Amino acid sequence: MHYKISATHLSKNDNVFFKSMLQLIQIQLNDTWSYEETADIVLADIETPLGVAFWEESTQQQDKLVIAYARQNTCNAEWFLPKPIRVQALIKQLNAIATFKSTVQGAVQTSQTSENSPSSISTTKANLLGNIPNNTAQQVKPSDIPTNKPVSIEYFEPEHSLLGLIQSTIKKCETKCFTCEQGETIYISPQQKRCFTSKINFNHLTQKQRRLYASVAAQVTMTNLSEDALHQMAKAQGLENYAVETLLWLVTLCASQGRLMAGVAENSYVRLKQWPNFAVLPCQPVHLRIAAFMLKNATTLTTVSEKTRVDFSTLVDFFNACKVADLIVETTDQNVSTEAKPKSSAEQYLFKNILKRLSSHE
Amino acid sequence: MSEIKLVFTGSVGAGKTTAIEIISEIPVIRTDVRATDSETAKRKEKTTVAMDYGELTLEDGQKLRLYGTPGQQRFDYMWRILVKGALGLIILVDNAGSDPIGDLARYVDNFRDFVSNNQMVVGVTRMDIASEPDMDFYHQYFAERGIALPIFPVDARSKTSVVMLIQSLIAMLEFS
Repeated sequence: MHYKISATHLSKNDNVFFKSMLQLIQIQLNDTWSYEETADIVLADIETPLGVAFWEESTQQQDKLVIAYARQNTCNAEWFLPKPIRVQALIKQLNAIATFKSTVQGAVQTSQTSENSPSSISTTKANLLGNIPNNTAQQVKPSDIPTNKPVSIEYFEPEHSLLGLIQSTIKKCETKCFTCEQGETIYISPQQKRCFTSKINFNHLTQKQRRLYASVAAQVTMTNLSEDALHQMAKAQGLENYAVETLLWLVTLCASQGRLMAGVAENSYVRLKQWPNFAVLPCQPVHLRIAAFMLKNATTLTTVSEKTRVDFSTLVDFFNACKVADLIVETTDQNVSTEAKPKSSAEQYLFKNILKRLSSHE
Repeated sequence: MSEIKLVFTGSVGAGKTTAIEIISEIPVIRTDVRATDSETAKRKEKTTVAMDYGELTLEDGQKLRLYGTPGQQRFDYMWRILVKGALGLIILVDNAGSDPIGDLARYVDNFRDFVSNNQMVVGVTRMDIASEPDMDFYHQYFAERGIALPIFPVDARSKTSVVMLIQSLIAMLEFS
């Protein structure tokens, strides 16, 4: 998808900075974003009187999606970008907005499809898979795609995302191909417990990969195929193969977008059952920190976020991925053993120094 | 802190020397000799008898010293000497060995005192050679004993794998 964004009432410096930042982070965004003079998505500096007025007017009319830009979210804005603009915060905010937009769009599509012609769902992009031999490729029946529930933008519901489709495919032990418009293509072989796709650089997913992984179910085209066809395809296209667990993990990290998995209470006490197998589950240093804390402590996600100083949405993405990998234990008692032992600044400095040295090794 | 050191320990042939070699910025100082006892000789031609030593220089000029212990039990006096004052411990278990779970138990037991005040992580090597016992078995072993430690498969020949071991150890230290 291509999204347009404009900015209003920003200082000259912030405006220039925002525009250049937007260009710089393109590769890390799930969708294409461009700056326009006028757009339906607007970044407004609410520390200026005119910016506040603009924000208030837009929230009443609801014709634009306005991102409030300030040091503090004093307006309790739903979409908020803290000052000064930081790379990760901007990426997260724009990806979250894209997910919101596509989820709403997906819900509309789903409801229209359900009312009108369900069979139109996965047929529109069949030509993307034109090179699959006709006798082995078979478009998936629309009954496989959940259509009767509205898509939640508050909670992450696997059944309404690519994740749910893959889980269902694995459960039914069906070999399938998944793709979406302008997105990556992946082939799943539950029999081999492997997936086949173009090379994944775990530290830098491509836009096509992120687009597919974050797709809502209605945007995904699924095609049945035989194991033989899969092997021919993988060989012909020089595809890499990965453990299915790796894909489920990545898809969850990409798709949950800071939304807690549906059915999980935010205030329940949780801990890790065991250390995640990071040999096959791609991780960032921040995930190791969360895992280290959650392996020893059973507490709420809010407390985990406070103690590890990891932002809540990153924590939630990791938690969801662990939940999908069956690594989470819910307990009735809170057990936080490390809170009274803050590390000395010398130790913190040393750990940071060692990690920095190690990162130059990777 | 006078000396910052990490200690690699574990069974014979688990990859301790290899792991240190792959990340050390200096040629590793080795004390290996021809293996004489039949069990060790079956696994490898040479074996460490005192220690391996490698190092990494941190940004501020401090050295992170990397020590590897001998794998054979008869040199266990060296284990205690080397681990004294260490920041943390990395145990490598050879999954293709004759009794990997027994090896793990022995090392966890030997370093029980150290671990009560420090942190350790466990890397299971050579899972490509022997897939049994699988990771579930190791996790179950820890769960039954109430041990909450990072344990995961590693390839001692892979820099990424060894770096992941140390990163996990540092993460555990941060919240210990």
